[in-house]
Amino acid sequence: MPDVILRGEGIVKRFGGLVAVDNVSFQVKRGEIFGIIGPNGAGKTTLFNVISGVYKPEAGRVYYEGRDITPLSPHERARLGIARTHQVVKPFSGLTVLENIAVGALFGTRYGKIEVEEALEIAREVAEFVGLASKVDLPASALNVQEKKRLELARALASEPKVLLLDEVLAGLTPSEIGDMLGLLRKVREERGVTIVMVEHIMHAIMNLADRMMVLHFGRKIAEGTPEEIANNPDVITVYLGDPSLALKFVKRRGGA
Amino acid sequence: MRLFRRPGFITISILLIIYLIIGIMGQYGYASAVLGNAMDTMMYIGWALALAIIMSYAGYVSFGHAVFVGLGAWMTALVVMNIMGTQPFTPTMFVFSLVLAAAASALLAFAVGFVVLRLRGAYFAIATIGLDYVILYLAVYMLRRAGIAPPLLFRNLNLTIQDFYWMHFIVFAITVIVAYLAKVSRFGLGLAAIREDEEAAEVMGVDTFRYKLLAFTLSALLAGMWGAPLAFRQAKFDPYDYFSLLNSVIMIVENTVGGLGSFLGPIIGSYIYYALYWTLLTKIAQASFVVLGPLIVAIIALAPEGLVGWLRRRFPRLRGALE
Repeated sequence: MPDVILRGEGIVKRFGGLVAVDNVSFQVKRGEIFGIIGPNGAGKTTLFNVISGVYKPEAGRVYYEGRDITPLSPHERARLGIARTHQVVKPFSGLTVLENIAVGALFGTRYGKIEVEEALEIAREVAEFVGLASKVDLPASALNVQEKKRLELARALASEPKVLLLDEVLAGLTPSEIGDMLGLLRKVREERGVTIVMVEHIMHAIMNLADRMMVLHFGRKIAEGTPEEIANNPDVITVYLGDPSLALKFVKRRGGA
Repeated sequence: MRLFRRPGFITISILLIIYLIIGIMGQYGYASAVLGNAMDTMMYIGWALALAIIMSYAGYVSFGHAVFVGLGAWMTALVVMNIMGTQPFTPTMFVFSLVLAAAASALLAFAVGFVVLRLRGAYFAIATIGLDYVILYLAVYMLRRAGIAPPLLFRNLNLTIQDFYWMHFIVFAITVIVAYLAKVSRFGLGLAAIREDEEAAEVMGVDTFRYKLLAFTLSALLAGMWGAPLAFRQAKFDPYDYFSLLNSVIMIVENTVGGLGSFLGPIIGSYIYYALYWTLLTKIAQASFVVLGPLIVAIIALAPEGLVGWLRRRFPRLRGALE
């Protein structure tokens, strides 16, 4: 399976008595945008934490480029090319925007191959790419929400990842900011060839962007397929969308937006 | 390399040139009145920068950092009184003391850090205080077993104040250069990431545990080296004095007053601390700490981010210059 870049197999993650992720398997193809949706508490962020190595699963394996990465720590996975953003942004507040992005460049897939000066150069380019060029010398704490989301994305991109895990990058943005961010994400895929896995609550946005998606509900995978298939899936409609006519609306907007 | 044009490099150059000039003047019998003060300030800056690597750069407060200065002094005592116990003083004796002091401190920090750096926040600080007491009483015990009531007084090595000055200068030069390189390298940026958000740093590819362990070891190595010039100058090994928590607190205060996260901060903080300490000591002697304590509380309350942090916020354009 040369075209599968990321694969999860029977992943189980428990917190005490709560099964946050229950036997979830999935495959992400190289170059695609793969969406993960589900109600609050469905286990989406937990699954991200298992993929990025923050949590060790109780059962199951994670494969990246055909290699079992389950035993690897987060920093090792980052250096292999798995980058992520956080739902609750985690900027290095005391560092400048440029330094924040440079950390991504310095410790990403180019770890050990570049020095600080070079990382700062790369950081400048990436800042330009995500539209933070005018803010590079400000401390990260001075940015607003939208800019902090962009900073998260910039740090991840600077690491030259092959897979980008985006945890609700659209949450908290205004409609026009969402439009900008979606444009940016398309640019990431097209210009940088990065595979994107994204968790998102804003349905019309992810339905628009994703090539394929899966739906989690109480830790279980209940559906997988193209946005149209998901929107027409009776299980999804029942447990998640609730209203079938609403689902139809999403599919129609996909054509228009 | 652009390193030579950086503000921190200029700071280092100015410091080294000034202390070099004072030393040369001292050598020819001038400036003898200030040699003592110059040595004191070099030592305080050295201590502050040593601690800065783990506390200010990486954000982990080592509360018992004096343990490494004390251990370094102990190793120096071992060299002077035992290992080279019959030989007259030679530069080799100083270098040997320095190497042993650095090695012992680095080793201790590595071993302890390997266990306690898995803990976050206050646990690490508490563990380092405990370490200080363990080593203090171990030293006292070893001295008593050898039939010596502390302090252990050194034999007469016929050293002059100029000799002490150059010992201080050598260790000072090593400390400022190493501390600065540790700040501006990849290592330094990784430590800054750990300080700001350890989980994000790890997810972004920083090997957080290894970096913290390295930072603590390097920090201890430098602090340990300072035990050597201190012991030679005081011609004794006094466990109760060298392992005193007061010394650890001084290092922390210097870093806090100067401002965390910068190279300049601990240096400025040390000068402020020393200026206050010296002024008060010469005016009101023993009562100086009574006044010094509240003064430091006032400074920290007025500028919690430290002097450098305050300047950066007040004058954003200076940010680049205030490394």
